[in-house]
Amino acid sequence: MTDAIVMAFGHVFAPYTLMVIGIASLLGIILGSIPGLTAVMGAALLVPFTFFMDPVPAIASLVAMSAMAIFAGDIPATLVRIPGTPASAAYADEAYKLTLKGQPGRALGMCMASSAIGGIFGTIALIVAAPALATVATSFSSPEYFWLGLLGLSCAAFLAAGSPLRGLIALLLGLFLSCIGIDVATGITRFAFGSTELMGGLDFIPVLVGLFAVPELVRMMTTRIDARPRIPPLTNIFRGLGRDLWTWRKPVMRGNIVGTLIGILPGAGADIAAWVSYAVSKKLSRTPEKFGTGHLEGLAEAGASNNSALGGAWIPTIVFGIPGDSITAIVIGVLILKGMEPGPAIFVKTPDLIYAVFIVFILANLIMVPLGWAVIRLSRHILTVPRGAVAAFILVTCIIGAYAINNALFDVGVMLAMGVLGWFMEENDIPVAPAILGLVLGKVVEFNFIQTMIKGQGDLTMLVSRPIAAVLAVVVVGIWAATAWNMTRNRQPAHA
Amino acid sequence: MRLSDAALGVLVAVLGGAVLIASLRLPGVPGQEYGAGFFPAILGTLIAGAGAALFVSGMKRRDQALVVLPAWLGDGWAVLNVAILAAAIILFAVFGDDIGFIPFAVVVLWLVQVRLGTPMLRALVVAAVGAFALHLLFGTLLRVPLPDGILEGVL
Repeated sequence: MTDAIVMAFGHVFAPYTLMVIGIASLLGIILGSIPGLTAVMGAALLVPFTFFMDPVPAIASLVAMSAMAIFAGDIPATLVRIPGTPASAAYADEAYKLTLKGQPGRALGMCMASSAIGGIFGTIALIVAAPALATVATSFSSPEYFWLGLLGLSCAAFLAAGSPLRGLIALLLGLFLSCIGIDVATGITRFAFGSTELMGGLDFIPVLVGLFAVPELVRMMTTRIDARPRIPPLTNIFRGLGRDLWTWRKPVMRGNIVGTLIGILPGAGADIAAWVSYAVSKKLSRTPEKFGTGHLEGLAEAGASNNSALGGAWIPTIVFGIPGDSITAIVIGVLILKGMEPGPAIFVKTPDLIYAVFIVFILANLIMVPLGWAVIRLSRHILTVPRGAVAAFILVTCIIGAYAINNALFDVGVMLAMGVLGWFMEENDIPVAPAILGLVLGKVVEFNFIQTMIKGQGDLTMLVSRPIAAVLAVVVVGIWAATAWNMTRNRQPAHA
Repeated sequence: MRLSDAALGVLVAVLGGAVLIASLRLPGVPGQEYGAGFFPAILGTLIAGAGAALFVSGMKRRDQALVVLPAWLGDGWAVLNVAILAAAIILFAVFGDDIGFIPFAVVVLWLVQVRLGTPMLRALVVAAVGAFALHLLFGTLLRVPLPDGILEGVL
């Protein structure tokens, strides 16, 4: 184990990896602080680059980028009341009220500190929980993995968006996309419509870029903005920060725990963590009437929560190969591309790699403080970057990104088709994230399902014949039943 | 383009039915019960079911228009922007090898910036520098064989 840790440090502190972390952090901060560009979109843009990297820098770039983007989303939320990423939406109003009171520095300082603390807490949870869970998971076989996959997919479909039915449709669509191409079990080509390019299946990267980035480009290019935002004068972000942190140490701690737990839940990530923590903070506060008037308490709790969710989301990702949120869904895609199937075996096969991920997480959250400080000072310039330049470069980068994987122009066409699909889904409130999970997990679910069926010679009880599998099955059925019950009882409209 | 719940339900149900039919037509594997079509057939059934459920819940609502077109369709500026976005991707997907990356990138980077309000000359400088920077990054550093197109032999 010591060998592995030493090797991990070697991986991370290699000059190339450090450079990648630096660039990815910068990219994350810039994307996060430009309203409309999310951490998920940043990850989608990074993936084509990771294709050319070794595993450690590839994963490191995603970790650093997402941690920075989630924090940086707080900057425009505080200064101009526009959350940079959806994860900051829960407390954008609160933070902006502090700016109106003439304390933008105090709000940003708390956002930065609680983000870093939350991120490190989530990482510690990851370091402690992942290996322990992996030991349990080594006894799993195909029925358990089938149910775990189904559990992850169900949570993704039902938790992510308001309407479970629409989430389910998105998920099934993603699963269907994963069926395109030659079936590994039988060698029969499915749904390729005679196209030789489609026989190899849809590549993850053009689909990802199309589904996430193209709709955002449409939005950027169809909204008129009249004036550049006015940035209020900044105040020192470190003044009084220590005292504020000590005063609100309990909310920060609670945010850490709630955020990590929500991150672990498949399908729910930083956005939901921030909303839940802000609500919890208000409910348990001694002074709930101060919320919404520029009060640090909710900010501290939700700010810690959304960053700790990032670390938490990695726990099911690494141990079971079930992504905790959209970003880790992308991570799984990257891990598989790098030939590293996530799952408990990864701790035995490549422990150095896992430790390297842990180190990168801590490193990213530590450099968040100096880098965040610098970026807050420069925010006046970042927030006024011309929209045209941002849209133009994203468009061209998407095109090269889709092309670069197979050096195939066909993939650029796939990206466009998926872009149209993604746009149509967004217009109809069908969440995109479950579709990505479906695409990533589809092959695993199908493989384990068929394998279990063959083992049991068609006997469906085989799926629940082992105790852990039976427990998981009960949980999955419970989630489906509860969701169905909720839908019929509330008679809520399907898009509510 | 937002469809009403009922219309979206029909669309999804038809799609699910198509997947189901296509799956059932896939050949089986001799001596094995679960062929290539088994899993997609389940998916098709579930998709059709989800579509039907959406249709049923949508029929109870009378307040939804069948189709709501996006608001920007009434804005010529925005429509042209979307057309440029789609055209740029199609152009590269079809003629990328002939045009080449750098000429394509310069034009697209310039056009999109100008459409979104950047002054022409500044946009041109940014586009030219940006195209070469992207070529350096992807073509040289990451060794992606970006097509030279009309600049073949020049670079």
